[in-house]
Amino acid sequence: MTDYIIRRTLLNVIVLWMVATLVFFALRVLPGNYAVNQFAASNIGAVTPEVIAQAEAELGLDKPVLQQYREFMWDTVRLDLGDSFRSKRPVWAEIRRALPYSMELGLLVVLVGFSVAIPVGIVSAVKQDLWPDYLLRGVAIGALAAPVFWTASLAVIVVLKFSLFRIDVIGQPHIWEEPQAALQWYLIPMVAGGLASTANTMRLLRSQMLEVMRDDYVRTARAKGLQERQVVMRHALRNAFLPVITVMGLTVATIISSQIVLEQMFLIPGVGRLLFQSIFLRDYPLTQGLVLITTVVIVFTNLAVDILYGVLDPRVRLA
Amino acid sequence: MNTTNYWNRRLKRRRFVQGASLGTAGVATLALVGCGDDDDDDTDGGGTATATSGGGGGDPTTAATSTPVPANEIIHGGVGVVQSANVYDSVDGHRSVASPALSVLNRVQSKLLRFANPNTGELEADLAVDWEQPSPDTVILNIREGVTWQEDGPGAADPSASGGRPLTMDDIVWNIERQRAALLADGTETADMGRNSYWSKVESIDVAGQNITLTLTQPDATFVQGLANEFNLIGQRELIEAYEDTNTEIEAYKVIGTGPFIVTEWIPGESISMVKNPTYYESDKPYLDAWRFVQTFEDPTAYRIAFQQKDVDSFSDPDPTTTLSIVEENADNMHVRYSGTANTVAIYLPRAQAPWNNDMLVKAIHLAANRRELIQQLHNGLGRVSGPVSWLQEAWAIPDEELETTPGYRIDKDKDITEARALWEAGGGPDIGDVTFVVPETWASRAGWGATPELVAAQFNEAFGTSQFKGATKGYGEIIPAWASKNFDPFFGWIPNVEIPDARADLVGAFDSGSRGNIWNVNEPELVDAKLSQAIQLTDLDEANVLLREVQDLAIENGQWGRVIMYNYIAPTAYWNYNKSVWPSPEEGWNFLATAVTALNWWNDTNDPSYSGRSEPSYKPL
Repeated sequence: MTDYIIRRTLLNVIVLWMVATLVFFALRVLPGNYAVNQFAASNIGAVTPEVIAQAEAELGLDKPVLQQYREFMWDTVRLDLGDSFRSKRPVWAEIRRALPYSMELGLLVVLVGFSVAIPVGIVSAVKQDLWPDYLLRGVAIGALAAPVFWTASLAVIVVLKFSLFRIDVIGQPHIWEEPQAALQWYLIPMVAGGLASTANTMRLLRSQMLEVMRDDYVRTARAKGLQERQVVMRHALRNAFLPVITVMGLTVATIISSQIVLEQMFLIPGVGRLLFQSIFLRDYPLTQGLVLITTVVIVFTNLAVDILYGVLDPRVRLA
Repeated sequence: MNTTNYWNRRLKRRRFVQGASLGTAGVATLALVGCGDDDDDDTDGGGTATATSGGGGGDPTTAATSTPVPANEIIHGGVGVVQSANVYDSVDGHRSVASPALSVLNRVQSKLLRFANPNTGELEADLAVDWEQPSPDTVILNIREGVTWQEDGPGAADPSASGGRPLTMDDIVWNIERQRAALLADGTETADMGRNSYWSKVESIDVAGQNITLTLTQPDATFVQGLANEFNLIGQRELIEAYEDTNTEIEAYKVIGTGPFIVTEWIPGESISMVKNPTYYESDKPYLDAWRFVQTFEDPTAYRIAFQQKDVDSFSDPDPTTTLSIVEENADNMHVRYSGTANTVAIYLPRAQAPWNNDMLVKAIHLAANRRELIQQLHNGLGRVSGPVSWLQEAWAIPDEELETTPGYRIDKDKDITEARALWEAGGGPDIGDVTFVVPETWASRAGWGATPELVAAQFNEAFGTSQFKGATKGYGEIIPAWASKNFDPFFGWIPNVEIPDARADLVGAFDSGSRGNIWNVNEPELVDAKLSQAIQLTDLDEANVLLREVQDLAIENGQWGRVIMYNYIAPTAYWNYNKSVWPSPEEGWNFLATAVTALNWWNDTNDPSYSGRSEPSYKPL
């Protein structure tokens, strides 16, 4: 196990280097840079080539790209992600501020998603080809098909129309500070995001359950006289869950790092919104830092999932 | 401006255009709404202007039309809330070339003069209580006595600052000389002193008591209006020089002024707080206790939520129908104002390079460009065509009625297109290959505007019966340097042509053969340079207008030399009824240069029924 973890960790480092390199050059291939984009809202007549050149020099963008790359890699190795072009604050500080919001939203989305997907997947499998199965699958496919921004926009219109509750997009409270206000703020995005993420998990769980329910050991469990509930929950579900956990792990990592649409819509100052802004403005240090951190989260979540996989299923040999 | 005529005129023409071009019922609904407004946060640069006058006067042709609120109705106190910008380029007003920073600094720092009515150019006292231009090359300003720099707040508390000290004539002189020389304290030149060209017009500065006399290098009747330009802020030398090296790192403690508000917090993209300056020299103003700028709303959903919950006081969606529908649903508690946007929409053709050095092709594009159709397609009919001078600069623009029969702007577009096609073919247009119009990415990324490159290309393909026109997008990062090199792709999008209400200096910048902004190689010493030079010296505005009109007519005759002005669209902004201010008319807002007038005159009517349910916003106090 230890060898496996070490090997995977080293592989992850290579992946990180490749991602860092890719994002560094990809950003510089995009037209424009921060020195220009910061003036996008300006009277463009005042933005002369000399002004742009001076701004580029101040940001170090006038240096040869390879020199910039060498400096970036050296700083990254020392865990120095640089300062954001826009805020002039360290990228680490920006991430520290944004990450809790993304974690909150991501975990709430996951909570909604899985708490809907798991029971629905089980019921749908147990009631295969009966009306509950058709209904739940229909709803799941509907949730998958509906764009998250559409669901959320619809909900916002209803909430505002009937003044159902207050959505505090300005106060931006954390759950541990103002639980009620925070939950009201997160309610629509967490439900919209949760429902969107439900469908895949639910459908995977259903198909796994159906497969497992036909296995010999399930028949044996029934033959022993166990109650159907025990057969499903204790024997079938545990085995059906293995591939689902892999998907869940990746879903968690993705959800935490990529709620760009929902964060934009509800003014949640999380990682997704920060990433969107930084790409739009060509804030290179911030984009590079955010992509790297997201990659770290995803590759190490993958590793954790694989380890968990082994714990849940002793047949899987990791070493 | 006669408001009744203005509205009637717009309505009639828009109806006509709709019938002719689109005739859709949905757009017709919008057409009935009208046009012309501002957004309180729409700030824009400014730079020269009307001469004459002293002690609060504008010129007679642009008399004030704003509607002041009776003093006994005004309720003092409260907090105004608007959205913040994402990016601020500098805390140093002299070195900021971007409107967002100026929207903050103009609330904190004073200017020598300010606009009482930005739409007409009417001036009023700021630090200078009286002013006169006794000759076209001399401006005398009488500076207010007893003004002090702000005593409280992070800026005043900074060790480098001198909070509470009196404003001196040396302060004024330093602000002018620094921008004129474009030098930093250590003697190094800097490119970002954006008003260097304006202040370079000052040959000498003489101080006598509270009077300061500016002698200009050449007669310039537009100079006085430029003093009210939002760029021309008066900052404190000690603090500005202390942070010259870090002026792009935005911090509240780097800013101090003599203006109505003290900035207590400035976190770009997140939050800005400004608190009323208790020692401000106009004792009755400002009306608000504080301003709070909240996070930028990149997505209209959050903006809409915040506005409908009264967390922000105004709302403007990129799609005007959204703004209007919100107001319609809340007609008893909201109202809408229309403002022209100061960023004019235009086509630029690279006349300095083939094939666009062929004047027939340039004129063909000018004639074929269907401005009214684009206003319908992209702006739901909310916009007005502009001649070489934008309609925002109404005193100088070609009147709408005349434009309706002017080549390129005709209501009878078929006639334009027939002439355009003949010129295109005569000039060898069909043989020049593909023509790709570049649209700025920032334009194409706006809601509903994504198809602009294709729409523009389709217009010309249809007009010329060809398929050689294409559309593409590029960032301003590529576009602006290409303009400077005069070697660029045909362009469609926003251009910088409106500085201040007086249009004379703008035309000089564009068409004078010696101007750096003349990227079309216009070289008409007698017909353009001489007339513009004469116009800019005239204090008789009627005479100046005749000359400017001659230049405009010549420009139109020549396809505007590749600087093909199209239109200025109009943005509706929704306000809760509790929100009050001084406005140019019941339905109009400010078109540009609005920050100072907004900062001073904005107040919340807590007795208005719409105020119910609004919670007092938080802000960082002193």
